[in-house]
Amino acid sequence: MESKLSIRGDTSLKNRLEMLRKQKGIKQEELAEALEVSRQTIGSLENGRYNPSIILAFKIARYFNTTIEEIFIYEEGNNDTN
Amino acid sequence: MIQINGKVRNYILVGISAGIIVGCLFAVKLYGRDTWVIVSLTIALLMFGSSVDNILEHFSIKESIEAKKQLEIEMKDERNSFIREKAGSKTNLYMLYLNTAITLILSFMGVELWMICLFGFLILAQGILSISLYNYYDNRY
Repeated sequence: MESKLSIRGDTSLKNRLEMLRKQKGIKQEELAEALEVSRQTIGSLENGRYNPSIILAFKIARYFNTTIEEIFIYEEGNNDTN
Repeated sequence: MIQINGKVRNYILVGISAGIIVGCLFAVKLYGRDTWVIVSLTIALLMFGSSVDNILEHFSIKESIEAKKQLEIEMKDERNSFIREKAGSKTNLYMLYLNTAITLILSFMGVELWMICLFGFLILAQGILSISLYNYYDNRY
């Protein structure tokens, strides 16, 4: 389950945050508390409505014991404007 | 020295400022619109507004530790900061349109030139401030 956020129309950022969270069996609230952000931020990240800062991206990656690239996928040359 | 907590201090300030406002209103009737009365009234109104705002904030924030922690998270949250900045930026833009519209309306209404110049200066000041701050943050980051 990947969420997609268009950055400029021809580029987009997908993420696998929801899938990873569900794999870990935790709620949005729990993840938000661990990352010290609001639950709405987690919701927006999962829906692909919001791009995280590099610091938050690192925090997320560390929380799931993985790399940023494993969670966030940057795509170029995609004309789909979501 | 007596220690007064923020909540009590705000209530005292509301009382004092309300007293000054009432006093100023009487002074206007007695002495007319003297400069000192207007200045006192403005300061009292600002004090009153600020204190009432702080009191309302106290009411809206629950005293529990969890609520305080949650509030801290909400304040530090990067998405909330982004939303605040975006809202502020849009507000600034719309205020510029509104100021321009008011200036135009005033100029068509035949208002005195100095008033139109004052509104024009506000628009100019907004532009200068915007450019200055842009340059400041451009150098900083």
